[in-house]
Amino acid sequence: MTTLSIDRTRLAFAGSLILGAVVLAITLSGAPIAVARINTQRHAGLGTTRESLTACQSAETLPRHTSALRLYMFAFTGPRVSVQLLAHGQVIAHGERGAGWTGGSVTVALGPLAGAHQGVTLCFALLLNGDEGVSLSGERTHSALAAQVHGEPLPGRVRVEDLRPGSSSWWSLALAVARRMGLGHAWAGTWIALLAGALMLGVVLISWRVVFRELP
Amino acid sequence: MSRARATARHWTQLLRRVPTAAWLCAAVACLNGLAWSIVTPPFQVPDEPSHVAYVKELAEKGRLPAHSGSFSYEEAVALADLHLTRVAEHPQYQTIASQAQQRKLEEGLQLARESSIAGGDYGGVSASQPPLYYALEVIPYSLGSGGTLLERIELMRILSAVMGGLTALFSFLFVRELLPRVRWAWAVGGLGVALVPLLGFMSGGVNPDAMLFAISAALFYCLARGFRRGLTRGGAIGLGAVTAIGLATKLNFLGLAPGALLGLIVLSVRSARSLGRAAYVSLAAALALALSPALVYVIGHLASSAPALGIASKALSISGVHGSVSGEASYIWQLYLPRLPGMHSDFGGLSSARALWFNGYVGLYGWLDTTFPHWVYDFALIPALALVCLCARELVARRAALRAHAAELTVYCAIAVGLLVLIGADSYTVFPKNNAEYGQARYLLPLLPLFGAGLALAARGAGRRWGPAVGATIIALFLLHDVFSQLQEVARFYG
Repeated sequence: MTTLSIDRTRLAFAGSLILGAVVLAITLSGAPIAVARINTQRHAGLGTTRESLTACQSAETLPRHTSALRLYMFAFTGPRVSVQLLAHGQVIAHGERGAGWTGGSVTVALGPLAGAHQGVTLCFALLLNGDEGVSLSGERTHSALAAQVHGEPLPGRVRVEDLRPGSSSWWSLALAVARRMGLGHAWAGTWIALLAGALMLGVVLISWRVVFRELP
Repeated sequence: MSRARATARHWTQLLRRVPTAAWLCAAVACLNGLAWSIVTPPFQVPDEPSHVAYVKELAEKGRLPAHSGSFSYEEAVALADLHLTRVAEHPQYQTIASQAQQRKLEEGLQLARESSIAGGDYGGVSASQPPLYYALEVIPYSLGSGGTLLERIELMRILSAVMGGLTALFSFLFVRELLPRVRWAWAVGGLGVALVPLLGFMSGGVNPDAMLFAISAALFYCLARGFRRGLTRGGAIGLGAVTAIGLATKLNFLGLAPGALLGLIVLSVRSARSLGRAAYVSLAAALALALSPALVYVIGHLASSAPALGIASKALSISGVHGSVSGEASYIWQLYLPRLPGMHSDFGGLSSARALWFNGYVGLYGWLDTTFPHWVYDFALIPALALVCLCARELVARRAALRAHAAELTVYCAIAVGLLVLIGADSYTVFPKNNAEYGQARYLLPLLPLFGAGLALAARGAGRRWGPAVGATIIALFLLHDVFSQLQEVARFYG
């Protein structure tokens, strides 16, 4: 009975770790998200909204394989954001980000978008939660080019970055990432990445030992 | 001399009584914190520039930092060359990436170290905090005085990582006191806490939260020990000392203090049945010890015409910042729980428990700018719900034992509620400008020992046959969560 129990415990621990390692390998075979296009060159405040709004800005261009949009707006506890992309009056992609995001931009994942599109109208809705405002940022433009809210122009266009998977996998970028880890720290060098890896290996080995020694 | 030797022998014996597994859990948490300290670029832990400035001021000038002004010249150079304002809170920008930027950083730090320009003595948000953590950090800071500021920061981070180890150690011992007959469950609780990614992240930075977590874990352990073995004079003094250290570490401990004092009183009343008046003498000594740092802190602030409890004064104001106590109570409720009928909606459609606390625990690092893809948070609900169900099952099955420990559980609840109320009251001070500025999962980590106990109960809830296997699965899950969290941090800053 004890042997069976020990086997079960070991199996559960080792099996979970192996499963995790497989998921990790698959994740690392994917490519990091890269910026495919930025719609504005400058970066300025466009005002703060304290009420829900839906804004649309036309003449956007979407590169191929765009999988997410990064919209520049600041909130500490951001509201729900939904995005629609329209071409010739038809919705070609949409996405939504739940409330609770923080920071100077919000990334909204989109449905699959195989081809490139020009003359796209981007509409985004901010469904404000409670009273916290959202500060929009982008490039100040004349009213004809500016984002519109119920026909009224904002001071400019909200900055949007079109994101899509890069061309190289995480595996192939591993050395470049390790080199970057060696910059901007107390001690410079690629060995910094190896040290972090060695420390985590220590974590795994000690955890393994505790599980095998303490759990029947 | 012989007395000192006897004391040393006594402490050695006490330490020898700590199970090896507890030390191993501490080692895991410490190594994990160290790994996080390497993965996370300098100043990319919340408020780290302010905390570094506090230590720097204390170490170099022997005084507390100012509430306004500018950072010291050396730190300002480091912040500028590492592009802090561009990178923090902006996940689209990464840390420095070229040898030219590295050279500029190294040269700037070298020149700043040799420069006669001192710069300001600004401490930012840390300026109101009590000095104990910073005073301890002066040791590694001084040890690294021959190196650059970044080297001193890394040495300070190592001390924080050691504090992370202590958090895991005391959490293990706490679970041992709660479940003395289920030896294998101690490791589940202790290792579970040691592998919490948010603990690793915070103990991998210069932040008094690292020490607060360790002290809170020690508090839970001392209370559990008192409830299980009775409160001796040494135990009472120990509880008083832990409370005093907590109050001298970070103002957030004010939220835990009422529960800690309640525990001390309950335990003293119990021990008075056997010890008589001596128990109350111990209580008085413990209370005097516990409250002395707070008293010194208050007197110091009043003498300098500052609010008695620094930034916490605003949060603890009875009238509330917006003049309505009921409004504040309603806000605090909604910060954690669904809105009740009749309450004004302070969070609109936001599910605060899910969006702030759960998602914040699952993955929100850096300056709240490093997140997982959104689906990860949805997926994490599955194991989380499974753990909650298993824990609830065990609690229902052991309800008779729970009733027998009602006083002890009330004390733990008082500690937890006190902390939640303090966080809520603090957030209310900046509401509605920011909906929930302090709605950050890291502020709940002083309750990690309860979390560890919950994990142990969840494993036990799977039954005698499957319990250890479920416990092993929980540990593996936490380990993987930690690894993926660090990789997310790597991707965000260096990818």
